[in-house]
Parts: sequence; structure tokens; C-alpha cells
Amino acid sequence: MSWRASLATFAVLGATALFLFHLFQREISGSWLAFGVHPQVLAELESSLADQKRLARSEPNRKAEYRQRFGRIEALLGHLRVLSFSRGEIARRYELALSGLLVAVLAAVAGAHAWRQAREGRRLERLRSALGDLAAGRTDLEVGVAGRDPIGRVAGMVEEASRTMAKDRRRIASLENLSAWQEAARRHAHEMRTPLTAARLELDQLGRLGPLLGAPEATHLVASVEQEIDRLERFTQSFATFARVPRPVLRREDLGALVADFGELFGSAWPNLTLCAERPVKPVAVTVDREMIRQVWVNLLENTAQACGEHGGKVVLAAGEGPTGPFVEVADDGPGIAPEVLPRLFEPYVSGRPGGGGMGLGLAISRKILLDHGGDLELIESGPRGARFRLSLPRPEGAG
Amino acid sequence: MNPRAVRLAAKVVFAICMATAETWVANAAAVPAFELDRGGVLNVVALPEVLSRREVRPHLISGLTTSFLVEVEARDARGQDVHGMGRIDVRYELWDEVYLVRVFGAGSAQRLPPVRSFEELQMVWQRLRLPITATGPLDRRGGPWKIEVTLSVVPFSQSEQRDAQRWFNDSIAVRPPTSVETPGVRPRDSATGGDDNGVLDLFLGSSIQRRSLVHYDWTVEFRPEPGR
Repeated sequence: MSWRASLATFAVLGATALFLFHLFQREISGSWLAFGVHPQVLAELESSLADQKRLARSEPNRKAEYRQRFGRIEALLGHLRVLSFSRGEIARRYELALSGLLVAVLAAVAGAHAWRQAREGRRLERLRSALGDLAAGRTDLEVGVAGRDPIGRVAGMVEEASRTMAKDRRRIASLENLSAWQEAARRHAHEMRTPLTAARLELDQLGRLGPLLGAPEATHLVASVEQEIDRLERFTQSFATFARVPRPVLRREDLGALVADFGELFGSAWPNLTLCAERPVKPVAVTVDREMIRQVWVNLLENTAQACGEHGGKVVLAAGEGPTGPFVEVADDGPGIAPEVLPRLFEPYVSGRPGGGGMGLGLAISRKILLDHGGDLELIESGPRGARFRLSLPRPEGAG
Repeated sequence: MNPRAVRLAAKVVFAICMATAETWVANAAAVPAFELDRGGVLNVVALPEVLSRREVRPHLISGLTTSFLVEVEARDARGQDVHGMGRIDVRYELWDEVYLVRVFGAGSAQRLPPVRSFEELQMVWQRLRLPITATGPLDRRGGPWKIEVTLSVVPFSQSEQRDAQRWFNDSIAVRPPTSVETPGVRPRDSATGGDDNGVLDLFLGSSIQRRSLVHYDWTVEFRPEPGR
């Protein structure tokens, strides 16, 4: 509402209030005073005084009693007469007091209204600025406008939209990054496979010729080269696997049941780990590729088993549903992840294993799987008392 | 012009003239007289008879104390002046049907014997001698003094005002209804903040103030007699 409209509204309200006040004062408040000092009342009291005197004369034995009553009536009459002299001033002060009260109330209401208008103006300005930022592509906005009113609700929506935008951007960036890595891995696998095949053929021939040439140490050298070629083929296979992470085949599942099944099936898969699966109290519906999700958990537990070594450890898989959707948290009590690895944890070929063991593709593949599901894989915390990952999954369509 | 309208206008003009003349005659005919006693105190010795005027007389029998405040300002020929005040309280005792008169002058207070009738009161009024002020600074030989006198009529006394204020505050105070009141125990006085409306009650109660109903002004030339 503009200030002109507010002023007009208050002018009308004020005029109405003053009119009603005047009416009230004239018709109601003023009359009680007029009634109190009505000439008839005074005349009746005077008459009563005369009566007391007559009674005292006719009943001398009760004179003291009548005299006392006379005194009371006389005092009352005196008070009323004093009141009648001050009647105008009393009425004037009464009106003044009520007018003051009315003005104070009107001023308080106007002040509260002005304050509210100013506050709403500031909030709307913040909201407008936030919407401008959102339109300009800024994400993770904090509007700073709380409240359950429409402005507060819109501000909440703007913040939620900006958070979603930020999340989607990160997801898209991750997917683009992983796609680039996948393409590189596919090429590497393709380029390496042909020479490796040729090398193996040549090596087989060399192995067959070795005894004929009478060089017994040649057999040992061939075996050693074969081992290296085997290792290269495994790497190539890993590249190929990473390059061909399939699209998930989504089906509606109960997340609690998935976690429980995994616990039963894989409970003893890692001898040095104690696996504990916690399912939620209520069923949590998700749309996932069961096998791919299992693959993620396997990758995570594989890493944990490697990190814990022969000391062993405990892993808890806890499923649930939060404000942002269904999730599974995988928490272990291992040594945590090396701090220098954390910034690039989900990038391919980054491994935290001691001595650089492993290809460093497990977490990258796992995150790719979750992103392909419309969810995400995040490290929630890591420290000397363990690490905790969270698998976020989208709500199935049609679910609240 | 309509003859009836002319007659009516003439009557109105005549009434106004008569009223003005009456007032003028009354004011001109009666002025206070003064005497200077041996101590140099100026006395009012013959206050104009205002008791029987219609704006005064009804108040004399109200049972309340009617105060007549006399204010005097005397100025000599050199412009030197003195001020003084006196007061005459008249209260009609309704039970005994007598007038009680008290006179407060400069440094004196006097209670007169009860007065039995209004006529007697008029006589007492005319015989009143009200000491007003010492005239030491004024020059008695330099010429006549100019004395300005104001007589104000106040319909009730200060103690009656206080009583009425207290009664009024008690009357308008909002108290929860009680089925049985303890004998001998007075309800709390609202004016002292005994309830939530204390400030408003006090504000309203204090509007009961003494104000003069009417006042009369005279200017008199007084020639002090040296040596008296």
C-alpha cells in the first residue's frame, strides 16, 4: 500500500474514531455527570434535610440520630454542589483524557503500521535483489527474509531454487568431468588393447622358442614380462569398465529392504569388517538399479576393508529419509581419508591407498552411478575416528 | 418597515439600556470606603453590598462556605504601590439556620457571632472593618492615592474542595463488588493508586478547583489624612 493510500486510510479511520468518540462522550459519558448533579436530585436532598429537622423536632429523644443523618445528607449535598460548580471542568478533563488516549492509540497504530510498511518494504527490496541475483545466475543465495507470510514463503522458495540450481550445476559439472574421463579411459583402453594383444602373441612365441634356443633364463624373463602384461590388461579392463558404466535400469524398490538384503548377502564378504545394516522404521520407496547401488556399496566397503587392514573395523549402513529425500549413510570407524586426497576424492585415478595401490576408479564410478540415478555421493565427514559417506537418492515420481 | 418589528427592536434596545444602566448605577452608587488607622494599616470599612445580588445570594444558603476575597492595590501620586488581601467566609449552618462569618485580614483572623438572618448579615457586612495592608512605603502628603479593589466570590472553601475531591475519587473508582464490607474499614482511596484507574481518577478529581463565580472591580481615590 502506498503512503498516500495509508494516509487516506488513517485519515478516514481517525475521523471515524473521533466521531464515535464524540458521540460516546456526548450521549453516554456526559450524562452520568448530569444525572449526578440533576436539580431534582439536589432538591430531593434539600427536602430530606428539612425532613430530618422536622423529625428531630417531633422526636426529641432521637434527635442525635437525625442530626447525624442530617450531617451525612448535608455532606453529600455539599459534594454534589461542589461537583456542579466544577462540572464543566470535569467534563473537559474527561474529554481531554479520552482524547489523549484516543490520540495515543491512533499514534501507536499509525506507528506500528508505518513500521510494518517500512519493514515490508525492506523485505521486498531484499527479495527483489535476490530474484535479480537468481536471474543473473547466482546460486546458494541467502535472502535473509524469514517469516510465514507470503514474502517469507517466496524468499524460502528463492533460496530453495538457488540451492537446487547450485546442486544441479555441480552435478552437471561432475557428469561432464566424468564423461571426459570416461572418453579418455575408453581411448586408452582401445589404444592399449591392440599392442597388448600383439605383445602377448609375440611373448607366447618367444616362450615356445626359449627352450629351443637353450637359454633357460629366457623362460624366467618371459614369465616376468607376462606378469606385467597381465597387470596392463587388468588396467585396460578397468579403463574399459569405467568407460562403459551402463545406464541404470530403474525399478521401484524399498530402500530398507535393499540395505537389509545387502547386509545379509555381504555380511561376511570382508573378513576384517563387521557390517551392520540399519533399515528405517517406515518403508522408504526409491527408484534405483538394485545391482548398481550394490556395486556402490561394494566399492565403498572395499575401500574401507583396504584402509582398515588387519586391524579390522565396523561399517554401518543406515537408510532413512530426510527433508531432501531418501539416503543411505555408510559410516566406518577406520583411519579416515588422507586430507590431501579430499579435494579430489571423487576424481578418477585418485587413490588414497598406501603405496598408490588401486586404480582410483571406485569412487569415481560410484559417484557416476549415483549421478546417473539423479542423486549424489558425498563425503559427510572424515577423521581419525572414521569416515561417513552419504548416498542421496531422488524421491520416486508421485511420492510426497 | 413592519411596525411589529420596530416595536420589538425598540423593546430589546430598551431592555439592554435598562440593564446597562442598572449595572452602571449599582457600580457607581456603591464603592468601598477606606480608613487608615494609627498603625498605617489600610482598612476597608464599607464594602458595597453584594450579598443580595442574584448571582451571589443563592450561594449563601447552599451550606457551603462562600468566600469573598478582597484584593487591593494602592498607589500614591509618585507611583509607589502596595498590595494586600483579605477574606470573608460566610457559611450558612443548615441545621441551626444561622450564618457563620469569619474575617481574615492583614495579620488577623476573627470569628463573628452567629448571624440569625440575611438582613442581619447585610448589616454585619456593612459594618465590617477589614484590615488589608500596611501602607508604610506610600506618601501620605503628596496627594490622593488611587486604590484598585477587586472582590471575588468563591462558592466553596479549600477544605470543602478537598472533601469533594476525595469523595469524587472514591465514587468513580472501579472496585470489584463485595458482598460484605468489614465494618469500620474504609475502601482504599483510589487517588493514591489503589486501583488501575488511579491516574485518571486523580486527573479528574483535581479538576474540582475553586474558581470565582463573579468578581467586582472598583477604583477609588483615597485621600489619606496625615497624622491619623
